[in-house]
Parts: sequence; structure tokens; C-alpha cells
Amino acid sequence: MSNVIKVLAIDDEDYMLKILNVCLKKPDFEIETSSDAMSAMTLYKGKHYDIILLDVVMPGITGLELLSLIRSTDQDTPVIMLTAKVEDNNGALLKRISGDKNTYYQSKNFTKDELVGLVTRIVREVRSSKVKADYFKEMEQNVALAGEVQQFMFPKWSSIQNNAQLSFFFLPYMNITGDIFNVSEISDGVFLSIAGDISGHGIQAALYMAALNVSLEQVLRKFKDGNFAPHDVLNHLQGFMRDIAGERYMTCIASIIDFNRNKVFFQSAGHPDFLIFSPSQGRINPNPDNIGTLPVGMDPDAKYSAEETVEVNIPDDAIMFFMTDGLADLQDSIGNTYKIDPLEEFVGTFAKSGLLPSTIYKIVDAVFRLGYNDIKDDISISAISKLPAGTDSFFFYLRPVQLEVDGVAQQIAQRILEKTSNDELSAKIEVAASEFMNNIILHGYAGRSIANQTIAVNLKFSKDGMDLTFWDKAKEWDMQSSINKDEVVSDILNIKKSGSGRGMAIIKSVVTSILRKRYADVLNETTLSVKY
Amino acid sequence: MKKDIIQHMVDAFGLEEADVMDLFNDYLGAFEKNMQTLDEALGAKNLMEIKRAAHTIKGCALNCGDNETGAVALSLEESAKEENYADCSEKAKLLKARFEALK
Repeated sequence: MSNVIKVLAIDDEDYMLKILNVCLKKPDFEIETSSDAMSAMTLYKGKHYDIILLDVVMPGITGLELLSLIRSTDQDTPVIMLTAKVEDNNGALLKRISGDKNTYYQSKNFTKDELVGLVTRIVREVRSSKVKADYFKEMEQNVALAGEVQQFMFPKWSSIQNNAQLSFFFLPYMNITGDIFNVSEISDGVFLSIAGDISGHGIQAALYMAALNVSLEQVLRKFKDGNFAPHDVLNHLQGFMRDIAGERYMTCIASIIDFNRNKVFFQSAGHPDFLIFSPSQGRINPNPDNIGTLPVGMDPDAKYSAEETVEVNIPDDAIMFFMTDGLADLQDSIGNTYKIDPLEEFVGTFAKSGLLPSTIYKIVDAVFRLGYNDIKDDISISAISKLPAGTDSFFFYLRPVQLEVDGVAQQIAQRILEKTSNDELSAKIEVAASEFMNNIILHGYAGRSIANQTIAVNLKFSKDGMDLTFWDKAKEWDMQSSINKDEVVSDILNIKKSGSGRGMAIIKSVVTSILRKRYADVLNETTLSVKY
Repeated sequence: MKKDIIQHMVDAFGLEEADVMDLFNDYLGAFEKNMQTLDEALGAKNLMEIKRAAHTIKGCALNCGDNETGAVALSLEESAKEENYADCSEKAKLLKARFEALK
């Protein structure tokens, strides 16, 4: 930025303009002058000025009227109102401009030093504020970008790995997080799950989170034969924290989930226990003896051993929920937190039919709807369960790009054909699925980053028909104005009432009903039902 | 009187004497132009224009340290505000005398 101060001076009296020229000379100032408001506006629109000096009393458009014109589009350029109103002792002019922090007042009986001092001080202040504002804006943009990059370090919000299904919910307190979640299949049907929370917040915690994720990859390479225990992982992370994280520490729970033997081996380093819920057996306490160790990095000399590892048997339909403490920290409008752990409270309601891509989102949504929606910490929850056996339910995943829609629609059609041997029904639902994904879901992603995004689809057969459910994180579907919003929220969206979106006519001609919900203001769930 | 104004210009604007004379002559030029405007406004009994011309004369006068002219111009501006035309005429005569003296 040049140090020269560019000035636009407007006064109907040439003598006053000459005085201003005398005072505000090169090399410190570049002044352009105008003797009326109209020509001043032409100059003003043509280039940037650091400051405007404006006579209050002018024929035609007055100085105050010109100020209003300028302020209608520009609240930032400082303006000094020059006035000979020696009688303005009652402050009438000051009152008119006092609501404008960038407009100042100067009597015309100024000296050169006074005017130069005033103009220089104001422009310096404005420039300094702009530098600070630009710096913070850039910082905010960088932090937002860092938050997007961090999304790649988390599991996808829904996925299937081999014989396991995974779901993940993440809502950062301030764009970025110090939470760590990682689920990796270390051998066929055996998964390593890491859930951690680095002490502190903000950029430092986020940087450590990124570095620890790299370190976790090292763990997997180091123990690539899959022959390791939770304490081996904690010891590796302990070394990492000792080397780079100084006085920071991390609560962490390292678990090995073996779906082949229906067992979980875990060690908790000061982290909240995970939760096991079985639709057939209810809640199971994984750690009845409250065995736990110090957080990773808290005692740099500590060694984690196999003795603190807990082994727990799980039923075939067990769902393991791992979390940090953000959900329990949610507050209502008067600062109260929910009376008991929300996950424990709602898991029986929303997981009673097994893990779905929306299960965690329903739980968070329920807490939000109870009024506990003031976030005080990052919320991270992951869930993992064995994929149910059977031939009545099929999952499909696709990135929100047109290229992948047709392939998934064809796979859906193939499953329907295999199950029903009904060519016509199979073809119709292929078209309906394709139309819905192309014309509703993909449109909802317009203008949004699709990095690390996925659409989950489930096809579920019942004795009298089938449900085709889509889960996406696109924007909320714009319903026709004739649709009562409450009906949509409370859910039952009868097909006869729906009608928004291109392709809806085709979809309506095929399906019996549409059920549309949105959870935690991020996840859309749409079920197209077909009755035979 | 003239000497005081020139000294004020030297002090207030940090000018050399030659430049000050230019500025002083500009001041006189502005004064003359506004006196013409004032005369025309008085002839037309246009109080709004009288007030505006007096205001401009006042602004220039205060800026160059011609406080006596500034005081008369302020008084004229107030008479115009009070719509006292007779007073305006009297004060305009004082301003004219002031201008002649400065010339």
C-alpha cells in the first residue's frame, strides 16, 4: 500500500480549495478537487480516495446530502465535514454525523498543521484497521479451509468396510477440532478404532490432530500384520506426544473390534467409555470395573501395558458408539446441560432397529430439538456395527456426482429384478432413483463442496413392497409453498402433497409415498416407498 | 489589518511571503466574487442567497484569520436567517467597506 494519502476535496468556493491544495501537498498527499457535488461523484466513482474533505454548505446538493449518497454504498471511506458554522455550538451538525464512525467534523479556521495532522491520523487509523481486518479475514478463511481439510482426516459420515458399517457425526465448535477419530480394518473383519480428544482448542489442537493422524498411519504400517494390542497403539501415540506436543495430552480410547469372534479389546487412556447397544439385548456396559489409565502424554514416562486392556464379548447385533464429550456439553438457552448423557438417553430409541446411516444424527437431532443446541465443544460421535446378514437389505454408496448416479440406479434395479423378477417395476424404480438423485439430491449440492462427501442409499424389501432410502448432506429440499412446513418437519409427506423438483412427476408416478426428514440440520433422509 | 492577515497566512499555512501574496489576492478575489453575489441577492431580496453568500464570506475570512470580516459576515448571516432585510443591507455595507479597506 502506498503511503501517499489520496484526497478528494469538495467545496463550492475556489479559495477554500486553494487553501486545501496549499495544505495537502505532494509528496505526502495527492489531492483532487471539485466545486460541486455532481462532478465530485464522478471523481469518487472513478477511483479510490483515502479520505474525502467535504464542505457542508454548498448550492444544489449540499455536503450532507452528498455524504448520504456516498454512505449509501461506502461506509468505510473517512469523510471530514468542513464547516464555517461557527454557530454550531449546540452541536446540531455533530448530532447529524455522530452515528457515522468514519465521518468527522472540522471548522474551517484550521491551520495547515491541524489539517495535515487530522487527515494523517484518520487515514493511518483506517489503514491500520483495514490491515487488521484483512488479517483476521484471511485467518478466518484459513481456519475454515483447515476445517475442510480436517474432514479428510475423519471417517466418511457413512460407509461400509467389508462386513462392518460405520457412521460418523462431526460438528466442530469453531471450524477446526482437536478430536481424533480413526477406524481402520487391520485384518479381515477386525477393526482398530481410535477416538481421542487433544487438550485445548483452536489451531494448536487442530495441528496436533493432523500430526497424530499421520502418526496413526505409522501405527498401521508398523503393525501391518495386524498383530498388536490397544496398549501398543497407546505407547506409539505416547512417544509421539512426548516428542512434539510438549505439555499437551490426549484422552484416547484404543479398541480392537473383532467381528469374527464378537469381541472388543480396548484400553481407555482417560477417555469417556464407549457405549455398546444391542437391539436384542439392550445396553451393555463395556467397562464395569472402570479400568482406565492416564491420558496419553500426561506422564511422558508412563508405559501402557496389556494388563489394563479390557476384553468384552459383544452380541452379533452390537453397535459400538465412540464419542468425545461435546454432546454432553450442549447447553440450552439459559446454560443448562442435558441432565444425563444424551447418547445413553436416546440410543434405545433410535438404534432399536440396528445401525442406520442416520442413527447418530437422529440422536443429536433429538437433543437439539429439546433446546440443547448451544455448542460448547466439538461434537464427534462414531458408530460401528457388523453388517446384518440376509438378502432383504442392500446398501449403496456414491459420491454426489452425476457420473456415479446411473451406476447405482442400475445396481438398485438389478437387486429388484433379482428379488421380484419384475422387469417393469425394476425399470421404473431405476428411473425414479435416477431422477431423485440427479434432480433433487445433486441439485442440493450445487455451490457446496463435495469433498469427502457421500450419498448413502438403502434398498429394503418387505413382504408387501420395498423402501428405497437416500441419505445426503445437501441443502434442505425446497418444498412447494403449498406444502405445510410443519407437516414436513413432523414428517409424513404424502405423495399427493409433494411436488417440488424436476423429475417429481416421474417419481410420483412410480412410488406410493415419500417420507422426508432432516436431522441435526445437516442430514436429509428420504424414503421412497413402493407397495406391491 | 492586511498585515495581520498576511502574517496569519504565514503562520497558519507555512508559506513564503511571495506565495502568501498570491493567497491573499485569491482571498480578495473570493471576497469580491461573493460581494457581487451578495449585492445581487440584496437587489433581489433573496434572503436565502444572502445567507449563503455571507456564510461563504465568513468561511474564507475565518480561514485566513480575517476575524473582523468573519464577525460581520456571521452577523449578516444571522440577520438573513431572521429575515431582517434592512439589517442585511446595513451589514452588507459594512462588509463592502471592509473589502474596500483590504483592497
